[in-house]
Amino acid sequence: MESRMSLAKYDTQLWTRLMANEPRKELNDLLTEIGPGEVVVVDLKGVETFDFSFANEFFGKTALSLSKEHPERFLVVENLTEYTRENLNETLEGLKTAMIERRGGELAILGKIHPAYLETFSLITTSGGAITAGEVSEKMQINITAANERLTKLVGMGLIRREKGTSETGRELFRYSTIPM
Amino acid sequence: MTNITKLTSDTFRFWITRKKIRDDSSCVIDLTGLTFSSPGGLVPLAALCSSLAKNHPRIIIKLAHPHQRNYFVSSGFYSVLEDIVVFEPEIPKARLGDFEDRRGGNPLMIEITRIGDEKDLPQLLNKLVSILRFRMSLGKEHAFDTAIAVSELCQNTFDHNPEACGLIGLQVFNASNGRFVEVSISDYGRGIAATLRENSDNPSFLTDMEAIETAVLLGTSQYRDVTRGTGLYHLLKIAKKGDGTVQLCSGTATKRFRTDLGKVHGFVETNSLSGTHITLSLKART
Repeated sequence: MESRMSLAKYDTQLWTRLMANEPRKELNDLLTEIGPGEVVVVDLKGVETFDFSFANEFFGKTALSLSKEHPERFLVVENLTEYTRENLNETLEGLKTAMIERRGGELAILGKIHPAYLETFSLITTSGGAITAGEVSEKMQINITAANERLTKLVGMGLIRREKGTSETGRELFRYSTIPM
Repeated sequence: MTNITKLTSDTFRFWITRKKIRDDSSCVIDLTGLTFSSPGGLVPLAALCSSLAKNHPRIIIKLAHPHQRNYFVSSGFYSVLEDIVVFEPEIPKARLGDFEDRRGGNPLMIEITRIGDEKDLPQLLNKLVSILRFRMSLGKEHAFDTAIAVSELCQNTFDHNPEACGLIGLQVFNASNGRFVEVSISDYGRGIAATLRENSDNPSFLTDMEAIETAVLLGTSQYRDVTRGTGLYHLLKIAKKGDGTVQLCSGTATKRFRTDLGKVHGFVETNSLSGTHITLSLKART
C-alpha cells in the first residue's frame, strides 16, 4: 500500500526550516500510520525550488531517522525537476544519507551511497522479484559475507525490503526486494 | 595613501579603518568623499550604524553632493537608518516624498531592508524570486540560486543571534564584462567566531580568519545537529555555479572567494567589527 503527500500544497517555493515543520509533521504521521513494508510517496509535482535549510529539515532529518523511528517503512520521492533533484541530491550527500526516487517507472538513489551498495540496489531493482543473499553473491561474484553485508546496509538505510521466506529445501532465509516501481 | 572614493564590499573594511571608525566609539561618519557606493559597502555600513546606535543616541552621517544623497535615499540606506541617524545636511522633505512615490520601482535594485521576523522570510524570498525573474530578467535558476543563498544567510542572522539584527540589499550592475547581481547581508550580532565556539564538536581555531575558514566547512555550526552547518558551504557552491565571488567578514578578518578565478584572498585589520558581513556577486544568467 502507498500513502501520498503533496509538497506543493504548502507552496511551490519552500524556504526555511520553520516552513518545513508542518509538512514534516504530516510525513511523520503518514509514516506512523502505515504498516511494515508500506510506502509513503512525497510528491514534488509543482515544487519549483527549496532551500537547503528546508531540505535538511524535511528530507534530511526524515532520511536519517527513518530506519530507527519507522523501521520497515519506506520513503520515496517523485516528480522532481532537474533543479530540485540536484539540490536534494546535494543535501543528502552532505548528510551522508540516501533516498529512493521513483522516476518514469524506475527506481534510483539520490544522495550518498557507496558504489558497491548502488550496484547491489540496481541488481535487486532489475531482478524482477525478491532475491536472496546467495543469488546476490552468485550474480555479483562476491562472497556470501560481502553480499549479506551489502544487503544489511541497504535494509538499514531503508532502501530495500527484507522478508522471511523458505528455500526449496525448507530452510529459513531472507528475500530482498525493492518497493514497487 | 590613496583616498578611498568607492564604498563597496572590496573597500569597506579598509575604508572604516582609514576613517578610524570603531563600532564601539564613533558617532560621526563622514561620507563626503565618496563618489560611488554599492550594497556591499552600504549594507555593512548600515549594520555598523545600527550597532553604534546601541551606545550613541545621536549618530551623524555627513553627506556631500546631491547625486550622492539621491542614491542613499533610493537605495534604502536613508530610510533604514532615519530613526537612529541624523543626516547632514538634512535631505529636503520634498526630495524624500519624491522617492517615496517611486519606492520599489527601480528595476535594478532591492532597497536595503531590515530582516525583521523569520516568519516573514518565505514571503520576502518569493518576492525576491519574482523581482529577479520578472523585473531584473534573470533566468529562473539564477533567481532560485540567489534566493537560496539569501535564505540561508538570513536564517543565520536569526539562528545565531539573540535578536533580529540583519539587513539586506541587492542591486544589478552592468559591468564591462556583463551584468552581475550583488547581494549583501549584514548583521550586528555576535560574529562567526563567538557562535562557532559554542559547539565543542567544531574544529578548533584561534583567529577570526580561521573561524571564517572553519565556518565554510560542511557541518560546522553553533548547534550540535548534523543537519546544521550547511549554509555557508552551499553559499560557496552557489557562487561557484555562477562564477561568482563571496566575501565573508567577521571580527578582524575578511576572506574573499573568487570562484571565477579560483583564488581566495584574506585580509586582517587591527580593529574588530561586530557582526557578520557577507556579499555575494553572481554573473547574471538568463
